[in-house]
Amino acid sequence: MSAFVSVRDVKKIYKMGEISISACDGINFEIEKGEFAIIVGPSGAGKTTVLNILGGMDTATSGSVIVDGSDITEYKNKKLVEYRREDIGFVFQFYNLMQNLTALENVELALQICKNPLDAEKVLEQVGLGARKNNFPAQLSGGEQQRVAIARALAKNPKILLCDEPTGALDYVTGKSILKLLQDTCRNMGMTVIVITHNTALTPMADRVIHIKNGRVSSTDINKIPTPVEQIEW
Amino acid sequence: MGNTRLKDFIREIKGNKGRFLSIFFIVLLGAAFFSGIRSSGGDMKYTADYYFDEYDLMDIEVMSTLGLTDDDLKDIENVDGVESVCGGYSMDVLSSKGKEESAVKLIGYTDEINKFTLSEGRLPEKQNECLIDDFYKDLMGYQIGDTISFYSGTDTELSENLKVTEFTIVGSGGLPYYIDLTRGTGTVGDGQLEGYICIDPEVFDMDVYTEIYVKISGAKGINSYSDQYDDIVENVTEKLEDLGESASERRYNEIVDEANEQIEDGNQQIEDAEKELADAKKELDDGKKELDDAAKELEDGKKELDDAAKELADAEAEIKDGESELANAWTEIQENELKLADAKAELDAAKAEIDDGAAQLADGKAQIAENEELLNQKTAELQSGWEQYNSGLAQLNAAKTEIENNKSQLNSQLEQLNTQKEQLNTQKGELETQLQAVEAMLAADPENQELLAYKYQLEEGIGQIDAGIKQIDGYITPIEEGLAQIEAQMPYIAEQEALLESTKATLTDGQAQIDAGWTEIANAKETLAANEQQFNAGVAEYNSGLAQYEDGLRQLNEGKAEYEEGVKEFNEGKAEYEEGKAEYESALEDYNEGLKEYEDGLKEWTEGNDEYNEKSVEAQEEIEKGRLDIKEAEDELAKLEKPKWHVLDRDMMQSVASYGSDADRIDSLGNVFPVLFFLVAALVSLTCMTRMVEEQRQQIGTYKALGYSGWQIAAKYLGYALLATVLGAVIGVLIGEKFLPAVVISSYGMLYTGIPYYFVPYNWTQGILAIVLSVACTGGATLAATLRQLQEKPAELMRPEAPKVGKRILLERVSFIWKKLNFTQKSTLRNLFRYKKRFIMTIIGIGGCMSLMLVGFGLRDSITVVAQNQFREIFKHDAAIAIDAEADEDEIQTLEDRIRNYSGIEDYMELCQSSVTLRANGTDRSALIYVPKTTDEVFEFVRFRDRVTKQSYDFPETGVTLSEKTADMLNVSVGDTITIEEGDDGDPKEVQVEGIVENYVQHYAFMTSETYSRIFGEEPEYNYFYVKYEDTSEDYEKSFSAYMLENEACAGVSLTSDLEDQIVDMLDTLNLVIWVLIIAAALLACVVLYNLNSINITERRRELATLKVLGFSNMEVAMYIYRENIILTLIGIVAGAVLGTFLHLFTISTVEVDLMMFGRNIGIGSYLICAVLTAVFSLLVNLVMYSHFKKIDMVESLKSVE
Repeated sequence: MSAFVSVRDVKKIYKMGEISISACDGINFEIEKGEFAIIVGPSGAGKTTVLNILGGMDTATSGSVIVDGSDITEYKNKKLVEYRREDIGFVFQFYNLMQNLTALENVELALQICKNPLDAEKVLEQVGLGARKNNFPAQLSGGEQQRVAIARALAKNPKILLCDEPTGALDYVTGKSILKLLQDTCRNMGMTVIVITHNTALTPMADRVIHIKNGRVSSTDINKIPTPVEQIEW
Repeated sequence: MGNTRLKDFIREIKGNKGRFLSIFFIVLLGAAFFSGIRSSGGDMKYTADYYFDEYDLMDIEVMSTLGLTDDDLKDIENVDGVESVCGGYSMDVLSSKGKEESAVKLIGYTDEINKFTLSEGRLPEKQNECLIDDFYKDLMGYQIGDTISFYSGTDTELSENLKVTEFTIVGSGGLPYYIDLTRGTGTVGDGQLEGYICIDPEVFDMDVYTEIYVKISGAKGINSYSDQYDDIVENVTEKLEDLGESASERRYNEIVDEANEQIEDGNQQIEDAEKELADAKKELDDGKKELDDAAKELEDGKKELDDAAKELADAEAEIKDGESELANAWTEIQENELKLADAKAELDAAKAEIDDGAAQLADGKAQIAENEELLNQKTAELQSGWEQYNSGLAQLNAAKTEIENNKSQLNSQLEQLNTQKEQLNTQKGELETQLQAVEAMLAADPENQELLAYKYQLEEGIGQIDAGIKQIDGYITPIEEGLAQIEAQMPYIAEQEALLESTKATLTDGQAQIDAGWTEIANAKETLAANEQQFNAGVAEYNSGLAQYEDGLRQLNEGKAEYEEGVKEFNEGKAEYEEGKAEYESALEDYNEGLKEYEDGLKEWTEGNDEYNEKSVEAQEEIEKGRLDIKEAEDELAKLEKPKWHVLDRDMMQSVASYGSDADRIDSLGNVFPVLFFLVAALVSLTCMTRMVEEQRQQIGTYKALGYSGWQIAAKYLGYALLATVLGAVIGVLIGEKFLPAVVISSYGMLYTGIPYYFVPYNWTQGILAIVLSVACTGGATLAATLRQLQEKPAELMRPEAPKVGKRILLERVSFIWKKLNFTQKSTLRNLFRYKKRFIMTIIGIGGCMSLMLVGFGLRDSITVVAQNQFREIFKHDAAIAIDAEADEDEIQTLEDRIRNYSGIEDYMELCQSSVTLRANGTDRSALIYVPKTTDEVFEFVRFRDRVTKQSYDFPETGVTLSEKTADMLNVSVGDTITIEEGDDGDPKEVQVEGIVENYVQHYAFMTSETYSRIFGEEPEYNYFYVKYEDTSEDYEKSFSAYMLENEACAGVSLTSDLEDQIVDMLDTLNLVIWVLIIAAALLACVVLYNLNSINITERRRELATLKVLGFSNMEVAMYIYRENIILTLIGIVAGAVLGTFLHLFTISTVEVDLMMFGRNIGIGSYLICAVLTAVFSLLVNLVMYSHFKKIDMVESLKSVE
């Protein structure tokens, strides 16, 4: 039986005129269902490319990405939209909330297009923002905004929660609480969470850590006993 | 600008083509519209001025109520500023073609001023050739080469003023002061001139000029619609008006003097005539007396003559008797002489006859004797004949008997011989038989001698017998010969017999002839005897006749002598009579001569008298008339007003002025439409440049941090904007100033057909103004956007601008509505209000597009409504039949009957329609009066209602009802008083306005016939029948018109459907304008929407990318924006509808011509079409934008907020 997420020999070559730049040079890794995985590497190592491909925002030049038994690299445009819509919950570094919509509405926005969404208010309460649901993003702090973003991703009831530097724009404390929220979500809801970060300090909290360097997976660590977020310092 | 920054600048343009093109196009559009429309009016004026100059249109026309003299002409020429003058003639006359009568102006053409524009044919060379106005030619269907004749239409014969009244058309074209389709009002016909005809001025047989054309020095070089021109002309006009005062005085005195002289002459003439009459009377009386004396003398002579005549007559009678007696006697003598001669002749004839008869008798006797002798001779001859015959017969008979006897002798001898011969033959037979038996026995016993002997015996016997036979035969032969001889004689005997027989017949015949001869002789003898007796009687008679004759002859001679004596006596008497008669005759001749003389005298006198009687009455009448004329002339002279000069400059030439005001109208349009475009252009540049500056915030900050000054930085953006602007503006001006004036002028061209060409020169003032304004707008907008950024510190600029904060919108406070909205609606609404600039811009763009199209379609509606309302709802007649002004009542009645009895006619009405001038508040309008004969049915033909409220009005009772536009132009309302005058210089009469009604074409003043009579003091002349019928098909109308035109009294039929068609034609030309507006609107919409949409997409790129990452499909992402656009489009359409309605109203009231009122409303259909078209344009732009949505990269969402 193969893993929930299985990335095999994925290569991504950008062609810029006559020059070919290889962002991924044969990446292989697997993530099991319900795992909290962290993909870590320095800037330019190719982790964003992996994220794009995993998130259905970009396609691989070669190789295959199997998510829950389906090879998404085979997907054409329309299937990819469906994949993003149904299978992926995305959390951005800069939250990317609709400025014009309240917290609740931002969550509802995502639900517009899903088949089996969760209740928006409940999810907001889950992320601890029940009281601020009618506030506009501008009226919320960065952490709160990121919580809304997480709520928005979760409410879609996705198979994978993809987080791109979720704490990148947050201060230490807030960042921690967001990570906690993600970890809790993973533990409590059994959600497969994939966090992409350049911050190696976070790795102890993950079930699985995938190191990427120069477009390749340099190593994959599995923490039998992941460290709770509260105990992690950076 | 440094090299590097120049590179940066060029790359900026290359990288932002869309933005650059947006500015370029919107500025192009704005500049094109601005300069194009604003040039149109100027181009129109320029074209007209060029035309006026080319054909030397007069600057001033001088007219006078009493005509203008050569002195006037000279005086005008001497006025300072006058370049040249020319005296002209014109005259309003009537002309008929077929049944159609029309009033035209005859104008004497001039070579130097007001040249004729020849569009076809050639200029006249003879007095009977003319030029025709193109418009009139087409109207009436004349051809070059046709003849056209004119009549005055008034009491004065045309030949009094014109040497020729029939002309051949040799060319067509126009005069420069008739550039539109109206020909003004005239003094003949129905007051409406239909055209003009140019003829040789020599043809006018007039003492004075009707007008003088003036050209002003220096005016040609100046546009005649300019103020400068007006100044120059006004200067001269004033001088001419002053001159007019004195010239009028002079003309007045001239006329008065001339008139007085004429009156004096008249009086003298009357006096002379009266004296002449009296003289004649006296002469007549003298003559009469003389004649009476002569008459008496004649009477005496007459009596004497009569006596003599009687005597002569008696003598003459006597002579006549004698003459007749003598004649009778002579006749008798002659008769007797004749009778005697006759008798003599008769006697002579009788004598001859008697002689003849005697000879005849002698002859007869001799002949008888001769015949008797001949008969006797014949009888003797016959006797000897008979004797001969009888002897012949006896001879023959003897011969015959002899022959018979011989014959029978011979026959009996022959019989005997034949019998002997037979006996011998029989013996011989027996002997031979015995011999044969002996021979047979001898054969058996040859030597039997006995037998031999016997045999011998036998043979001997036979021999004997044979000799016997032979002997007999010798006897027989002569007998037979004898017999034959006898037989031969037999024919001869028969011949003789026949001869005898014929001799006998001849003899018998001769006997009979002789007998007849005898009988004849006997008869002759008898006749002769009778003749002899008769002859003897004749001789006796003759002898007695002869005696009688001789007696007669003696008597005659005695008578003759007696007659001779009588003749002699008569001749003597006759000579005596002749003498007396000659005497009498000479006396009579004398008398007759006298009488004749008298009669001649009498005749002469009678004639003289008659002539006098006749002439004196005539003369009296004439004298009386002369006195009256003099009186009238004196009265007239007393009343004669001083002549007044009318000095008309080009502004007062109707078509020249209306052309100018139409050009001005276009100018005023030019103040509105382009503003719309400029507003949009400014806003578009503002948003574009603001966006650009905002996008490059960090760059600006960097430049600033590097130490560039604010201006240096701003120069880049300003340069970018200005390059696009100047390019757009220049190209826009180049296109717009050529294209738009052409459209405008060709639309107006249908009204001003007189100008054969048009020019659209570049109008630099407007072009530069457009460019400067464009530059100011975009430059200002760019500067504003840039300066705002530049004010910030570099550090702040390096940081991204805080994103726009989400806000609750007003609607959320109305929770009952807000709650009902679903999520997408809410977010769309919030987004809409989030970008207010975009909101307003889009609405302006869409609204502008909508309103522009609405103006186009609205114009169409407004004009269509004219046709529909005017000819279907307001004027309900289907045809107007003009009544010939010269038709008498019977003829009109016949025409009316024709109309009444024509099948399919629903109703008809008689009315009077003629031109009047209405004045109020210092302005005047020429209008038509509409006077129905009776007002009973008038509302079957015209509807009186308020345009807006549709409320109905009554027909005015004592005042007039005016058409709406007329009232507007005169600035009067119900209850005001206006003046009304016939033609344009009748006596003004006051009348109250009783109502104002909806009307679109022409100016009308409605009144009853009573009101008319009261105002003008005479009954209206009904000159039209308005007719309504059910069937408005072309066939019906054609046959109806043709049938009506057959009638004498019908001067023309105009069909409402034709008028409608004309308006439909007008609509066709409007289509061009509508297309221009639609295209401009589409361009506007596209540029604005494209620009705004692309800004919108750029601005919200992150947001849209995020949506994509969240799993929104391209379409869903597009819809996110489209929903906003749809709402904006809808709002824009509504706003445009409102704006368009006002703009349309403004346009209509600006472009409307004086004679028409266009509809004020836009049809629902047009609103719908414009809305749909606007939506379609918006949709198209949105569809084009779809590719932009597709291109949005999801990776954008991962980037940090810049």
